[in-house]
Amino acid sequence: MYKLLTLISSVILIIGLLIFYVFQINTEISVRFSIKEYQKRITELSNQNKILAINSTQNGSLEKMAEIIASQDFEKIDKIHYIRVLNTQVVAK
Amino acid sequence: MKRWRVNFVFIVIILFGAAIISRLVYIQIIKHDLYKALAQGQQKNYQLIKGERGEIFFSGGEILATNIKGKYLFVCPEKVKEKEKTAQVLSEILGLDKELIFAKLRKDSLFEQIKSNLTEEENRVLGEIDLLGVYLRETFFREYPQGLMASQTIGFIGGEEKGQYGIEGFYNDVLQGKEKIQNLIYGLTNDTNGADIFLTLNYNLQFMAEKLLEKAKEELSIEEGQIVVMDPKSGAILALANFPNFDPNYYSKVDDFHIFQNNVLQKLFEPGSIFKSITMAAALDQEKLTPKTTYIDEGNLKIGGYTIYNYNKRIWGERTMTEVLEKSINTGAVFAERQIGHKIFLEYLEKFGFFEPTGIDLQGEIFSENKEFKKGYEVNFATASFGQGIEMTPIQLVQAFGAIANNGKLVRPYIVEKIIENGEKRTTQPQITREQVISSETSSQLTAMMTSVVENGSAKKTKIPGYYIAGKTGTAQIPWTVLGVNKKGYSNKTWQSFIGFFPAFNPKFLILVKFDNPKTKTSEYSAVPFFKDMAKHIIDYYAIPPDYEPI
Repeated sequence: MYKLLTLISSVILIIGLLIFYVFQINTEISVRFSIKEYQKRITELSNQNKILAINSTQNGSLEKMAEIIASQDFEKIDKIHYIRVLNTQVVAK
Repeated sequence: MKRWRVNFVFIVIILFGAAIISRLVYIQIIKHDLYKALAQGQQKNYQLIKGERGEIFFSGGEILATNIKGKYLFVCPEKVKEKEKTAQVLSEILGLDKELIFAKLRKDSLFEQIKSNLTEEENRVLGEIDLLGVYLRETFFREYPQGLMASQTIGFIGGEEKGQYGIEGFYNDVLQGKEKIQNLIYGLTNDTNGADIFLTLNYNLQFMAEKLLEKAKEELSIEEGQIVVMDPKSGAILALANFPNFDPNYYSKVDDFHIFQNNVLQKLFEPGSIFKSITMAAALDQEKLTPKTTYIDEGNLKIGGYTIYNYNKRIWGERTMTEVLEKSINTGAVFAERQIGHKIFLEYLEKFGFFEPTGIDLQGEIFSENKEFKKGYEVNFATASFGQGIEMTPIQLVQAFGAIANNGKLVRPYIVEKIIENGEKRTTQPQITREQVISSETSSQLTAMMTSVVENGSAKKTKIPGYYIAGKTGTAQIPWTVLGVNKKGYSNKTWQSFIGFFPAFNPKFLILVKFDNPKTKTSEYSAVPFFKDMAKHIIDYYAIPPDYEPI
């Protein structure tokens, strides 16, 4: 009787471990797949980010700004006056 | 009987179990390493990974060079059966010449690249068709979003993904990603990526310098031109512009490879009268003369079989050394050189660094040993005193004048401000010589004399009310040999330049403007007004307070 019990419990244990093994493998495959997907997404986003940075650099370039300024018909500043503030003065005009 | 059967089954199970355990011991313990390696080989995805190339930025963080992932198309001619049809299809999709593709398909090779950096549309269409022997592969492409800007300074990525010229060439080992065998399943790490480089170049100043060179091309028809802006106290290069330049994104379309050269450090020139300041520095430092020392100019000097004249054969009579610089009198420079003698003059030129490279961190810097000049002929020393017959690169001249502006101490020009690798920052420390090239008193005296050149002399057009600027003009004839003509002597073409620093008595910026063969006669009408534009821009941009209240 005792031996039969041992046998049955051994079989149950083997089946249990087998199920556990299958479950673990399944989980690992699923995690690996997720990692791959995330890596792909990160690469895509990182590339899009780079393209946006390049576009932003080109759109905000001084070359573009110079073109816009030229079209606005601004008057070029010829002279800048700096007001000297003495330490003893509270208010400077 | 029944008991015997149970015992038999039990023994069989035990034996079976023992066999499994012994096999497991053999596999997992005795042959552990072998099976571990075999298992890893099956379960994990290993691949040789090359990290991404580092990016290059202006000092303010504006992107100069970056990478984007894209696909390129290549063919394996051996595997392409219907070559003509394949060429036709690819030519329609890619908009390339059919004959060009067909020629590649007929080659006896395993790899022929057809097009790089494919557009999204090209990618989509190519992904939908199935052509034998035609493949798409993903890779990083170098992108230079600023186009033409600072092209000679940055360089480009040539064949075999190797940096060529400029920063890309000089810092290739720092920028390039490292190769590593990596497990793709457990994620990519960033430790293979190349280092990012931040330059000392200021985007705004670089832009202005390049715009001025374009303007000089339009107004003065210059053949080539360079503008350099340096902080004379640290040696940091704030702008380094060349004309003409090229777009590093399309470097392969350039016909004349000379355009890749950075003429600030890769082309020699004779500085002309700018060099009188150096001669004067040596003579003042030796205390052989003062700014007020006078001499009598007779308009010419006979040395051996040669006669040296002043510009336009003018005769100036009795003049001080300050006036020699103001009026740019050739015979006055010869007088100053003769006061110290040839040996000491040579020693000063060596101390100013004219016979060795500056060591700037850009690829391909050249220098001249000036062997012809060093032969010791009297006339060579005479002409060298006013900057003819002695050759140097613009960056050597900038370095030498940096010493005058920096109280007599020489600084090494540099262009990389910091390198960031895996989050670690390495900042470039300025290299300033301990030894004085000239004394600080000489530096002050010479600065005052050069300020007088701008206030009263040949560079009056540089004058910006409220600011003291020290500077010197220079116009030198270009030797025939430089123009590729096998002939002795000088052509009618000229190098016209102006070098100066400001605020003169506490210099923060040193600018060299050099034009090759502008249509003007002297630098007074070419480099000088352009220097003023650059200086004015810097003064306004940095809001530098004036030295005095302008009237």
